[in-house]
Amino acid sequence: MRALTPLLLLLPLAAQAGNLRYAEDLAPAIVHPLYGSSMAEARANELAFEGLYTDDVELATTPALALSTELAADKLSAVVTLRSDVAWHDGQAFTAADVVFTIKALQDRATASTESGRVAWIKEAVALDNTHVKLTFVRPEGRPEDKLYFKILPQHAFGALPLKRTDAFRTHPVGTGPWALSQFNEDNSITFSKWKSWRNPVGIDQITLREVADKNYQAKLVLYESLEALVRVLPRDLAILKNNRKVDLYPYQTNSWWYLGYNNKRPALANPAVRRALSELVDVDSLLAPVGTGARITGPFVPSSPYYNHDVPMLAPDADDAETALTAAGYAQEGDHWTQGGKPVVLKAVAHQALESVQEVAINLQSQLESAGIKLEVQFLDDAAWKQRVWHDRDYDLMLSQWTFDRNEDISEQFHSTGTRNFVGYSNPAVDALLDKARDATDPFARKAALREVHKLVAADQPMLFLWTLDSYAAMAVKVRNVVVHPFYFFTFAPQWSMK
Amino acid sequence: MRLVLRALALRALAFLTTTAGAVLLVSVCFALVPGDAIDALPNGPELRAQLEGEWGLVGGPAERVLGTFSRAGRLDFGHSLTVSPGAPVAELMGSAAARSARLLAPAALLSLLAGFAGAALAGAGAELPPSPWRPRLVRALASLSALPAVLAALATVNGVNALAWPLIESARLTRPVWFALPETDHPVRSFLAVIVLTGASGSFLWGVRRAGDTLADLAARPFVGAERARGGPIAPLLARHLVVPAARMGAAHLPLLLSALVVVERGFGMPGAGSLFWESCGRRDWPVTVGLAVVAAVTVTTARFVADALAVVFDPRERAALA
Amino acid sequence: MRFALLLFGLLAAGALLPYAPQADVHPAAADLPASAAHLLGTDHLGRDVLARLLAGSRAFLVPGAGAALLAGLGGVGLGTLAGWYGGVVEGLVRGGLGAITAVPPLVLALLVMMAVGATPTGLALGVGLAALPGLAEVVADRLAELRRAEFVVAARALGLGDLRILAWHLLWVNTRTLVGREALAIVGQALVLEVTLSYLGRFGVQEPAPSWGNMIDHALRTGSVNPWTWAAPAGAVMLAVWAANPAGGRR
Repeated sequence: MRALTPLLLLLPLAAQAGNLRYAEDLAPAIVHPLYGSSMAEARANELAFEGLYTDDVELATTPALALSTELAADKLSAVVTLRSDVAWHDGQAFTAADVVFTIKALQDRATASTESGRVAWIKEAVALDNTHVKLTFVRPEGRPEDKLYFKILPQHAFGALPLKRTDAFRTHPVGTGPWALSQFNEDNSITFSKWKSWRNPVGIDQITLREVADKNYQAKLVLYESLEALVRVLPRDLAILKNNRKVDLYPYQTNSWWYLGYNNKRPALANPAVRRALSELVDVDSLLAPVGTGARITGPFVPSSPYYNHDVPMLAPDADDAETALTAAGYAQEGDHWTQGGKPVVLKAVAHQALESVQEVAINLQSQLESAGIKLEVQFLDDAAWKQRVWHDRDYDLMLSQWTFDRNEDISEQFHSTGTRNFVGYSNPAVDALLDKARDATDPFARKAALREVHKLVAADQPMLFLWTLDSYAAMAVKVRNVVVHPFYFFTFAPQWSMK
Repeated sequence: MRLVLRALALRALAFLTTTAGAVLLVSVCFALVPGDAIDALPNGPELRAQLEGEWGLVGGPAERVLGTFSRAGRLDFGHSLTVSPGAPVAELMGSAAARSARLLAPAALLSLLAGFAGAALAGAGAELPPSPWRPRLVRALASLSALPAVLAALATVNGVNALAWPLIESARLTRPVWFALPETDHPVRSFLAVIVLTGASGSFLWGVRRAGDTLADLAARPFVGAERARGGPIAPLLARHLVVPAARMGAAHLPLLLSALVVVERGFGMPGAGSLFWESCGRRDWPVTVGLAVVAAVTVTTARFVADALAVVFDPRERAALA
Repeated sequence: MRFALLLFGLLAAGALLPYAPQADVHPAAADLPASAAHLLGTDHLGRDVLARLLAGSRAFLVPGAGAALLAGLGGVGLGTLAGWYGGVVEGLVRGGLGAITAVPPLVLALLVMMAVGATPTGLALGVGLAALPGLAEVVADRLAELRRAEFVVAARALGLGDLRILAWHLLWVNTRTLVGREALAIVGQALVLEVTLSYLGRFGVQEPAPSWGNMIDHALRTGSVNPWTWAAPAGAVMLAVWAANPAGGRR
């Protein structure tokens, strides 16, 4: 009987297989973890590929393809012990050579991977044998396993380095994940089938990604039972889905937050007092109300983050204080308008068109600033035009956008004076030093302390007005059971899901 | 015969130069659009140094246009950069165009038939007994066709689903295969898409007006008057002489249909050349965009060439004009 | 005539309304139903729907007029060259125009707007360029038909110069109605393209400036419970396109 018990436990799962269909605005044209260019692709990669480590349901680091990591005393190297019972989807065995190959591919500039930053901290990777990899680091690392999430590729599926986007792998991916890609369909949908040799039971036979370009239509398709899952429910659809007995909603908190960035290099906005005054003219709660629910933030982390400094007070709207600050900075009020040098103050704002609800926020913001006497001209830009204007040209006064971080929440690219994504042009030597300290810290408490201090300083400098993090909800048909949603990758815990 | 061949040769030359002109126009416009394919990648600016040369994005707009043009001239459309990285553009275009043709061909034919039928019913040129309701019906349908295709597609998809769902939920109707995001192409969905493509955005209106002008012109011709005086049937006579004008009308209508195709494919969730074009513009995938522009230009100019060829072959006035 | 009436009605009513279509954002008054204070209710940001509807007519009328002017001037000019001179000139002009018509209008308008910007100018330029060949061909066909007409021969015999015959007798007397009809249709095309581009990818007139296209897009995206937020602009679109395009041919 004891021998049969594991089999009996499997029986309900076998009866509860099925096809889980979910929607994306734009179906990935390739499934390749080194060349992902959208969250849709990241989610698809999560189905078919694995990293050395992953998250458990408490979002703590847990082994996946690795078994353990032994850190050297000087913290400049570590030996990762790998699982020996893993096979690729084509039946070949997973070995240390695959790990080394992946790291080298990411490090090779000619590969031009969108994920190359994930291994910038690794100096060298060497396979000691089939199940052991020695990693040498650029600087001491306290917990290297927290950064070993990047997906591993099969060496045998490629020729020599560098890898290319045009490699056949892009449409014939081979991973170790719980689902293998079966086919790209004519209607742009993608079918993933359960990988029978995966080490744990997988509750769903097939997962199908359907392309539904119209976001307004996606929730209806869940109600019509044409889809079983929706990754993110629009605020407008929450009430309808909440009241439907065939659909369950699952809240999750992403590491993403909205901000109104000030171009710190513009003369008008180089003065922190002016930036603070502008922030005080904005009623952030009023901006949030039409958009959805969420939590206000005071700095560059979400409130649930260990790095969030809860001692930093929320910046409340204060028109009087703003008026004093603007007057002191050389601005004058003429009638209903603020002027400088006799000319009315006109600020140009750009907003990322693809950001859901950005129009409502931008229009509302414009209205608030106009009431306060500042004219705001808003332009909505698509992705490429945004990068041209903001990344290349830095041609804007204000920008409305969102940052999304994975589990590492590394904000140095955004706030370090040398950061490649520091589009607002922020510079504070004290913040630079703290960010360097956080990066080099091997003690998690030291890192936490440094980043909380960064939060405090950045909040005081106001290079941007920190707005909010939105509540996110996934929608699942009730027949999908045991659902736990990963806030970033969505499907990390999908093997545990089952369908009635 | 010599005249016919000469005329056809001239029209073939026109075909080539028109296609080339269209490609040049699209290339110039695309070169002026801000941002490029590298900007469409999440960390594109960081990869610019590595990708610029490989993707042919070095140089200013003029160099890029010339480069695009010379490649298109050699029928080398290259590979997709961002839409389907690495996929040969010719392959992408071929499969997309084949899917779109399943909507476009019936829509083009239906547009012609509907236009002439509508015009005839409205009283243009036909020898039908007078009736007050026929012109009103045609005007009502023409007014309905004023609805932009995007709204017509939305209304159709949502309306049909909203009507069917309560019946499905209450088990009074077995869930149809075509209902709400079907797994495969279904004739019902394709039919609805063709109707929207044919009728919306003023398409039917345009067709009725143009067909009406054509029928009125024909009816005013001396040979028709002569046949009428002889007491013979006019309709067959008109029909015989409609081949060339109908072909010309079809060719003129094609660009409008291609425009509406982008909308209809997205609205109905039926990927094809139209939705591929939209995606390639957003992602700045210039090989795919230019490739699709070539396909569109070739489609339109081929239709025109066929119409002109028919005119030269069947219309003695065209041959006389050449002489 | 009916388009003129529609136009007059929109402009007059717009002048009488108490609400500014852009500035009045009142999140607290979002999605209100029709009432005495707001005849068509409010949208998701608390803005008066009727005010935006009436002001939104400018979003296609102004660029539409610009497009009609561009297409009209260019089309009449090029059509006159082709239709009056014929031969090689006609071949060259028609060839050039053919290159433009080979690109679907939506594609051309989209590319022009992406290059110039999603502004009324961009829309006018895109629609004007797309419509120019059609109008030019209409003028060219007409002039080709008329240039050998008896009255033209008679006018020459009476000593009238070519310029006078062309400008007055052919273009003004015999072609202006045709050109006027096409120009009106172009305004309708501008509206259809604006609505399409707004909904597909927000390439139409940009918020907060109201346009019927962005009103429909906004209503559908925000799921406003007030049905007038989408029904009113959709109805207005149909009415305007119908008014700009008379059905039926000549009898």
